[in-house]
Amino acid sequence: MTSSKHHEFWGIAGRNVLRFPGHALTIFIPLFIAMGLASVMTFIKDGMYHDALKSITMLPDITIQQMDSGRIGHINASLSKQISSYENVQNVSPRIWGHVPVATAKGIVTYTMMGIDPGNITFGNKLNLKIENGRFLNPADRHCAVVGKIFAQQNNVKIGTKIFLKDTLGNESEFSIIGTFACPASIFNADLILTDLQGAAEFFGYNNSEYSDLGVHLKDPAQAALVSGMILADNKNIRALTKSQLSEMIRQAYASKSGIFQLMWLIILLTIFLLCWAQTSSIGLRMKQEIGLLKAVGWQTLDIIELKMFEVLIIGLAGLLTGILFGIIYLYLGAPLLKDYFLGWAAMYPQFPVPIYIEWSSLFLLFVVGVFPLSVATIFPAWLMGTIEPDSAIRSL
Amino acid sequence: MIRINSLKKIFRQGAKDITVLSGLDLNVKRGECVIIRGPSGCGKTTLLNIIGCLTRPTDGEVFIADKRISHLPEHFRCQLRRSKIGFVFQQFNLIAGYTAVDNVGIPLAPLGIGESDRRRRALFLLDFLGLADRADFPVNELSGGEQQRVAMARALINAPDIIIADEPISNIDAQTSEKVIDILTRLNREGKTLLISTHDRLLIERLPVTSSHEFNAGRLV
Repeated sequence: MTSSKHHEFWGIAGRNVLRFPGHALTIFIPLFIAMGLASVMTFIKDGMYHDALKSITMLPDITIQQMDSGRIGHINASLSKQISSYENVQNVSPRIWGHVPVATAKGIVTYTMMGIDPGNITFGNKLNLKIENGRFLNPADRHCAVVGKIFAQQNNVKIGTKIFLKDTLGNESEFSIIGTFACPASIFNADLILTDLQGAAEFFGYNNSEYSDLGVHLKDPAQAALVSGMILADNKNIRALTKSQLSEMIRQAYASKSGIFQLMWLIILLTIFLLCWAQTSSIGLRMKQEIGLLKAVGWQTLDIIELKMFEVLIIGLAGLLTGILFGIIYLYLGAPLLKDYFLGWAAMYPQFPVPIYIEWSSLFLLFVVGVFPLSVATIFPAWLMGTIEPDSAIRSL
Repeated sequence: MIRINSLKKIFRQGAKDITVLSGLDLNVKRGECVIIRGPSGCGKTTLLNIIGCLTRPTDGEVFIADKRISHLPEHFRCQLRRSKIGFVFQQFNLIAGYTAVDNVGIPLAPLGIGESDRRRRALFLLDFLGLADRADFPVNELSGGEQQRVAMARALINAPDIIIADEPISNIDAQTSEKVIDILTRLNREGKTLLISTHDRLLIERLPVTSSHEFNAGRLV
């Protein structure tokens, strides 16, 4: 009974792989390790990138900041009125925010405190978060705080708890917890303390006419670039960041400019290159003999190349898939031992679950990097040897 | 069945040309058993390899079933090897690590013949050659004589018209040699054309030889 010859080649390729287990393992093991590490890195990088993108959904359409000698300074409250007068501006909400480094038994962890004006923000629409317990801030609240659910769990904070925040810079104040929230960005669930404007101003030492920045909400967010251009044209020493600009900054930080990931990718590519070199140099005589024999018994050169491609695909895909599977399991276990290295700045941020995101494009990239060079390193010599006459190949033994 | 005109084969070794075949002619009719004799290194294997489409001549023509094969593209030569010619190598040339049955069935795989069918056909031939009980042994665990019979089974798997055997009993013991000679004789009686190179008198005496040719200075006499 005849079937597809390609189907038959898969079976023979599988047996060929098992015929030389040592050779198969010398490719499989480094590939598994390289792909495991690459997938862990890639999924975390993608996770952090998407987490950062989610955090942008909580931001206003335009963020206005004062620049003093190229650094971010305090912005004057009077600018708020001026910007409110622009066409298409729905409201301008001032914010006072900063980082709060707190000494803990595990070292210094840094929280983000943000003071907002609850009367001047369209909660639910503009802040992409959901109150899980208690309530959100009211305009009348003073020294009240709403915290993320991970913050609440880690610090054992409940509704009504009073927390005394004292940072390593000398700022201190007491806040009453009135609610806990959940938001799509896991970093905010762990590090964000939302409080009233006055509470934040007192904590960070702002005077009444100054804010950290101004959040501009537009009636038509698609006009953000236009409005931002108008604001910049009318004012010196300020910068206006639209959501799309922030997205681009995040994309650059996590994609092409993410140095540590690039470095690790280089190491992985080098590993794959060395594997390919080892594969090409180790298959010489054995492959030449087999190709000569197969051609002598009636196999076409293309049949042989297909067989050799299937052999390397079996090993390559096994290394790739088990590596990726290992990466996924490892990440769902919380990336023990390596989590801090992967997150890099975990010593500053409070502990939070490793964000994981698996993109098809990343899986495709892993496939291309893991299997394609190996296939070329096998198929090219196989093709070269396939052009030799069977007699020469057999006699070369 | 096989016609060779003015066949030449020159090997280049460094800067030196070595002429192995120089204007060789040969005619073999269907069903004949032809012996090529000569000492080692005289060019017997080269001649068989050219007829078996394993290498190309430097000059001259080779016809098989009235088709000029010496200048055919590799694709068609491969089809010929697959359909018309069964080759038994002097060194067996089996694939190490494969079982006997896998070695015998391997030429059928590119035809899309399934594993169970390949196995059935290979087992039939191994049984015919007295190796049914060794079918699932890796070939590297078989004796020289057994490996030679596996190589013969592989050569027969595509039911070729022509069987080319290069020194088929030079690497096996006397008892196995008798078996191989019996098999070759049976194949010839079934109508297969045999082209055998040897310098062994036993083979020449025992086979139903139609014609025997001696190599002399790159030609057959």
